[in-house]
Amino acid sequence: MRVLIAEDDEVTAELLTAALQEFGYQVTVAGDGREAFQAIRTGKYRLVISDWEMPEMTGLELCRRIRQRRWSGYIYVILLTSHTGVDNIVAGLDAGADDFLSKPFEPHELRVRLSTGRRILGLESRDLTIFALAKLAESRDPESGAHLERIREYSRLLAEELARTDRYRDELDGSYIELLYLTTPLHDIGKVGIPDQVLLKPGRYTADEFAIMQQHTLIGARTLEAVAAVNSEAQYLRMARDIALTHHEWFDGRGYPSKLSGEQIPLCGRITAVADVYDALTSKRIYKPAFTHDTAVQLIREGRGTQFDPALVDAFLELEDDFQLIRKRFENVPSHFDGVRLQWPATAAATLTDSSHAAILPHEPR
Amino acid sequence: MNVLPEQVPIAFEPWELLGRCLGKPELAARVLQKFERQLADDLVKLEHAIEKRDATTAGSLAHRIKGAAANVAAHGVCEQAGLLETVLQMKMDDQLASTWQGLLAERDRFLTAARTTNLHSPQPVA
Repeated sequence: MRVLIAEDDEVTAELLTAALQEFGYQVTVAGDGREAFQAIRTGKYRLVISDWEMPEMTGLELCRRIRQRRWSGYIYVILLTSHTGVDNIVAGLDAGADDFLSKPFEPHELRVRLSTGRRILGLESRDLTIFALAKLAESRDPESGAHLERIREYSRLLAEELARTDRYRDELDGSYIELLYLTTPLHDIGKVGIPDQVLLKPGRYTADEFAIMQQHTLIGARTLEAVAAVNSEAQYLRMARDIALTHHEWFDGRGYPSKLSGEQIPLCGRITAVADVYDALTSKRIYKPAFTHDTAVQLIREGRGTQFDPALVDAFLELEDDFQLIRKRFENVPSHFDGVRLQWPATAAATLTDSSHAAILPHEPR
Repeated sequence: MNVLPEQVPIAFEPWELLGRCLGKPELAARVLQKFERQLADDLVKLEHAIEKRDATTAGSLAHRIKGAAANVAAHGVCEQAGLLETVLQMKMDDQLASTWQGLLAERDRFLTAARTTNLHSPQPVA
């Protein structure tokens, strides 16, 4: 794994380099914060050890710049410093540093602090894998686009808004909100078990087809439950199961699959319901055009206390401008995870050739 | 307020440097050489900054010397550079000259110690 060292002191840089190489890392040294930032922009580095005091750009400023931008993955920053005291630690954390290493550094402390960083970056790999699987399931529907990217943003917004209320302050802490962000994209994973002729039907469902479609909540929940059973510590799997199972329940008990009502429906399911419906309403689907934001707001308002938890509709109405901003942010932005579908029989454009081992076409309505 | 140290620190602790170099004497020797060169350069720049009353640059240089010295276990230089950094930050002009001279003296003590140390069989040098 690569490590970037931002250090103007060549002596410390050499010592760090030697220790890191000994521990198996590939090391690059940048002589100041600005040079380090340029190196980070290449996308090669996810572990950064930065001195605090540097010419051009300090380590604190480097941390701030890193956190201000969206990167393809999290960048773990360790600040190397001879500054001690609570105020300096607070300043470092506030700027976005993940950890500290004091000068003079000890090689074995350096090794374990980097191991911590790798572990945390590894967790992000888990998150990305979960999201990729959700996208894979979603890719059966050619018109879903960035649905999953949007729905997790909407869900987080709603949860953060609820967390500001006295009623939910204790339940909705940062950890819950992060889990929600991670697991909401799995809400429709059970659709992999729904036949194409139902899932992709352009018109209204018959009663039988609707009954089949409703099964996606149970298929998804059973799958996640089975995995949760062998990973009892994995809290995210339980939340993912609850979301998959309950995001079509209605607050008044008229939803599916279990006709739960009120707070029988887990909070994560109630949150996802609002986020999912807003996104479905404002998106073009195979069976409907995209509604305007105002129409979607009106329909959700009308569902207060029937389809949706009133507290969540209130939160949504507070946030409707933010919802619109998120919607615009993902408009016409291709998703990094957009699925690809094989066409069979292969068209001329997709015929296998010696140089292409897969007949891959972008999403196309059939 | 007086920022002078109460005890004379060890000039150079070769075992500590070797530990930081994962027990490799060749690496320790290379790092020491680099430190000597960087220290000489930084002291020239520091002297100019002090002459120009550029406390910001002088403070940064003192800080860098302190950090590098800590990592090569040059404790005397590290401590004296730290004192100079404090003197500059607190604008204790009456102690600037003596602290500067103290840093030069620690530099000399370190160089003497480093040059008489065998990194393959090191002993602490006071």
